[in-house]
Amino acid sequence: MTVLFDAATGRLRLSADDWEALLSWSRDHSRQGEHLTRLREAGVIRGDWPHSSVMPALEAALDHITTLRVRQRLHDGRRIDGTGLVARGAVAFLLDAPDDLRELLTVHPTMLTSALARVVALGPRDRGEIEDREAAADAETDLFGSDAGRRRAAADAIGGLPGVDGPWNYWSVHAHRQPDGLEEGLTVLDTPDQMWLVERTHEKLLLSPTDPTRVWRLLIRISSHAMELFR
Amino acid sequence: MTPDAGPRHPEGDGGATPWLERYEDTRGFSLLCPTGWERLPIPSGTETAFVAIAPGHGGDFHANIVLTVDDLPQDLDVAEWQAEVEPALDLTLEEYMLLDLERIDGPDGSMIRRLMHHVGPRSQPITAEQWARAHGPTGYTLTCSVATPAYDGLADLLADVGRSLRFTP
Repeated sequence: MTVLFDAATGRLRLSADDWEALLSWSRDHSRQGEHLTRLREAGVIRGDWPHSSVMPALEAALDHITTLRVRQRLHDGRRIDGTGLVARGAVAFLLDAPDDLRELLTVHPTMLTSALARVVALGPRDRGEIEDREAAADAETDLFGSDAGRRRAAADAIGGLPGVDGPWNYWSVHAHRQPDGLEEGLTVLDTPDQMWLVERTHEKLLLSPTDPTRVWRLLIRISSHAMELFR
Repeated sequence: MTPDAGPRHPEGDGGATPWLERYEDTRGFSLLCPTGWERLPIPSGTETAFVAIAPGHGGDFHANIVLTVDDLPQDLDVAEWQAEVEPALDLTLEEYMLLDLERIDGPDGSMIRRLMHHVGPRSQPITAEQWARAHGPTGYTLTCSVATPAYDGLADLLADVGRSLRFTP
């Protein structure tokens, strides 16, 4: 595995194992063999210190109080997932990148909402649907799978779903706060024709038409805890 | 400002206190403004027609309402006008991000509603909602800007403000 690090911009791409090694070394400077060698060769570690551009992210990861999970499933089967570690001074984002690497992004807590919006590519979409759609919970695999035929059949079974032919992004953001154990989040089917809020129960899947403004407000609610931490 | 018979505070005191008041301008427009927001004097010779500022919402950034007027080329559709505005916003606002854009057709004509995010002069995250309408050869742009953490709590109120622009014959 490669460690890609640009000291000028602080851009860092590394494997999950190298990230864990970097975190472990940051905690107690324990040696991690080949992982540590790669990190040193890339300039992420210099002497006994991490490079200054990755310090805020490491501090956030070691002292985080909220964990964010971002999951994205695209119509062609690709998955782009990410984890955000929210601390008082910074948010460390680890996002899936090509070649089984993860990109480390450091975000100020007050910019968390816009960072999430950029990750899920929130932007203008058509609107117009007013009717909810309801499906059996086990229809989720077909409805949001990469097999176009099964997807269309599942959509037809619930009265049609504009945008289901793709391109689309079926994404979710969930926050888990360590102090109180509170969980909150939202799941969205994002198509150019219509955005849908998706609610899952054991029995059913409810899709409600929504729009980017509503989604932005929900992202603000999810990230409000992080923003309050900084005040 | 005069009390308006229209929108009121959704959780108010049974309607006794208007949450929005209508401001009537001698230049031929009127709009709703939240009660208690301070209306600021308009510098002469500018495109600004109205400014009101909230009393302390959103930490170090006060929510505000700004109405600007522009002379429009003849027969320019509101959507075409706003398509020309978009690149300017991207150039002038730091970390500009367009979040939502819709055309709203009503009995008084069409307007373009835009929701955007940008970074303010002191690095504050700001959510701005904008309604653009044409009235004759004049384009009116009503912009409500709020510190992003405060936007969710003010969004319904600001939507009432955005839809409230009227023109007197």
